[in-house]
Amino acid sequence: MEPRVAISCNHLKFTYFEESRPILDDVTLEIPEGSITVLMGSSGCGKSTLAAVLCGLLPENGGFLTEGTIELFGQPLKEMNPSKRAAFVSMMFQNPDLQFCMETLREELYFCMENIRIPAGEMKEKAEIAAKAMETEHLLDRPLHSLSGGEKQRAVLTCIYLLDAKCIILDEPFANLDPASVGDMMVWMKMLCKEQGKTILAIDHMSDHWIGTADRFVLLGRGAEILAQAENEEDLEKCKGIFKQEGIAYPGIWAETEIAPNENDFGDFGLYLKQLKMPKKPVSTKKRLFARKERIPANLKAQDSLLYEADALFPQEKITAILGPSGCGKTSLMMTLLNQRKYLGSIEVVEKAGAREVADIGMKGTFAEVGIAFQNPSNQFITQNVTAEVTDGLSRRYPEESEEQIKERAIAMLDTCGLKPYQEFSPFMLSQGQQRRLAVLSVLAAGQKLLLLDEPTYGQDYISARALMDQVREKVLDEKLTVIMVTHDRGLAETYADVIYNVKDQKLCLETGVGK
Amino acid sequence: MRLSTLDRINPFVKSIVILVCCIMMAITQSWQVNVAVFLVWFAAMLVFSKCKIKSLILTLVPVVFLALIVFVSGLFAGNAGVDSDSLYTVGNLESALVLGTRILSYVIFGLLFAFTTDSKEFIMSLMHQAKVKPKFAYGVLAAVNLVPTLQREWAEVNLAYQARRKSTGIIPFGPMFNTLVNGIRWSENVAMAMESKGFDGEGERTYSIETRVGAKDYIYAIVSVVIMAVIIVVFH
Amino acid sequence: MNWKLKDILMVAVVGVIFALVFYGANYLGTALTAVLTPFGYGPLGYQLIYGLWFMAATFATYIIQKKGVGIVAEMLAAVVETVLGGMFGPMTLVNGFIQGFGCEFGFMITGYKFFNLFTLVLSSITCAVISFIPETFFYGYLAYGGQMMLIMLICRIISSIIFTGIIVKIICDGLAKAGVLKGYALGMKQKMKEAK
Repeated sequence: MEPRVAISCNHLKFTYFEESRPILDDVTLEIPEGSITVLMGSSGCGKSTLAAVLCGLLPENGGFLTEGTIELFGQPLKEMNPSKRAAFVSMMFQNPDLQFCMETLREELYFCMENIRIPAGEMKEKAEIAAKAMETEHLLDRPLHSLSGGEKQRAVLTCIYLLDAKCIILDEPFANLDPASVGDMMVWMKMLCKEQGKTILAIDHMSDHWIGTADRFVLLGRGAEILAQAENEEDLEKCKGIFKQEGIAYPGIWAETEIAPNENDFGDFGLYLKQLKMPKKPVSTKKRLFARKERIPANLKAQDSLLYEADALFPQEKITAILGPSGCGKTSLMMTLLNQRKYLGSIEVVEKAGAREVADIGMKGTFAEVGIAFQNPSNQFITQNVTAEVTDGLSRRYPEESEEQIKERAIAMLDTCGLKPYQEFSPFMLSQGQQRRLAVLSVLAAGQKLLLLDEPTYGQDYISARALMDQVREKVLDEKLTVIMVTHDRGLAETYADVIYNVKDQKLCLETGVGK
Repeated sequence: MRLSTLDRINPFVKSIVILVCCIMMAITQSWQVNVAVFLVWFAAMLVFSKCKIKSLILTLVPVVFLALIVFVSGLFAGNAGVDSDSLYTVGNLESALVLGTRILSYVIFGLLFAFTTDSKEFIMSLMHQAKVKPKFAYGVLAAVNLVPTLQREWAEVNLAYQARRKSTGIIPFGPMFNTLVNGIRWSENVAMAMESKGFDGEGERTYSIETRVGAKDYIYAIVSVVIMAVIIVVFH
Repeated sequence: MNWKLKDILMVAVVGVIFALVFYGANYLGTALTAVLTPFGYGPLGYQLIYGLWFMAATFATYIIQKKGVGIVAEMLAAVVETVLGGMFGPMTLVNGFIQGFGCEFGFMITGYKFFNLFTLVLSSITCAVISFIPETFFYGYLAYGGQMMLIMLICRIISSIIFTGIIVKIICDGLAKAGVLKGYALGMKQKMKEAK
């Protein structure tokens, strides 16, 4: 028997503004019941918009659906109110922080049940059944904001399980998860599909982790036009050309990415971590008025630490990548290197001029030497103009130069990253990928010698990730910068990093690079 | 032994009663009334509520400081630009006392509410007793639950300003702008997430908790107003 | 107007962010009061930054550009502040209503036809004046006497024009330029300007 059609759309045309170019241009798609389909495409191709339109969240929350119809199991989506829609389709979004309205998972589950009008008396039992099925019982009463990204996405899945919608639409739900959590999620996806008969439609710009799980891959081009479809690895192999042309990552793309080899001469200079202990509860180095001076207890135990007696060397003028599961202390290490957190043990900066302890350098000194690019690039901007973001650092670095000269330099830098056309824009107007490139440029412009990059390629398609990392690498070679980056993307790390550390058992384990 | 009477009063009733008390207080201009109000309700919190005394006192410290400043500024205020032999007159002392103690008495009501009320319950009672539409109630809840995320980002933005060696100014409009950009983007995401869970801001729904108004709430209301009236009569 | 969930959330989240700023502004107000006290102008300390507290109303009205937005927005902000444990508790709600009405009044008397710097400033003035009246009783400003009260009112109007009028305009126009107001009237206007 042919499976029923779960989601179907016909000749969809969607725009955000009445007169502009349609984001979705004549999209026709059918998703069979009980299947896992992955929609892939480069940033800005309209795949996220398509997901929101298929859920009915758009145009309800903005934009115009000028043509086309959508049906869920043969029923027109237009005629459903949110409560009824929830029986057919639930959505899971990219940012795990932004999917809840209550304080704990239990309350969130109650909220879901109130929406679909389940009597109060049945709520407790139903919530516990759902939590048991998704193995989230231990999370039920913990504040949601204290959960890790992976746990949050599991919590969302618990809500979806409880709502018992026939289809689940996922909008890049794994962009912020470490590989172990992604593997975990794949198991749940399979379970929901095969045992519960759910239809799953996922949007992603990576295919690696879906292989073996997904039944079908659909490649989208501009305007969410369907370019190709693949059902297995061989099919995917055949589509490589389209992947390349669209700038999306296919499995193993990083292994095939070739960059000019780097000399492997590690000097004695760099950052030396010796017996470093970082407490789980961060202790700020900031001096506060009236507040008691905080200290890390000298006898800090391993179970209260993130890193415990960790040793490492981050060599000068090289790129070091740090891998490891979320919550293992990668971001905290960044903060510690930036002199924001107290630590036990020692972090020594060894240079030609001699050795210094990070904690002794002082805040001002640190910021003069260390630059940081945060995970959320929009936190980075201090002006409302793309060019000004870069000139701000440049004018501090070259105080003797005239305004025109500085501007010229800035525009040249923007040009290397394809940002020249946007020089008069507000930085917030740029796409995620462009914002991230600008954030890194703004740090590069200021001329600090040590650069900390927190997940520099999170949520980016292959082509933007490459452009960004090429730029960073060029600067490392030309301007003798030292880069330390935290990432989940092993392929990227193996391609670009000279040294790779993996955080395991509270230690930094060396994988490639520096001999002891 | 401390009771938990105040903690269990319906939040909406509690807020209305507090408003009534504040208005009664506003009609009087007497520092004795203010001080009495402060002491009585402070004592009530110690006995009839299980709120954390230590953090209550810690919160009160800056308030007392503020009250003191307002008192002193009231003392000097009348003399601005006026030549006078003495710095203050008795009339000024009296009015400065009113101004300073007024802060104390207001804040004690505010803290009575803040320290004995669960925020979720307050919003639920706004929905059930004040007939606020669910979309407003849950919208506010969602925004309030974003606070930890917003605080984290706020700290990061401020750190970015520091790291890029740019001052944020006395009133940090720069970081505020970044946070607003994030916040507005997020509000859209959260709204969509809520709707995708079947939330319909106006339609029918069931409720896991339904706040009610019972006998104890009426008693609380009457007792509060009577105490207030007694204080005014005795000290005014 | 018919409020959508995302409008409510936008205003509430903005309210939360403003509340974060108010938290610091309270200390600033106290500091200003302390500094001005020796000169006899202590009561002006808070008045000088009072406009900060009216920002939510004009902010939302300027972005959404519909009737009744000011009152609801300021009330939402007040509920948020109360829930976050604001010092003045439920009194914040009353103040929120009065301030919201004050801001609304400025747009109302121009028939909700214009949403520009002029109406923003007008609205800041009406808000400053209208919110001042009940406070003379609540906070006992009467005790300061007529002359001081007049100076206080003038300070409040100036502060309101700066924060509630001009700075709100700058921030909102910046947000529109940053492209985050796509779904709102102000963002649409910006988009139309760019198209031309």
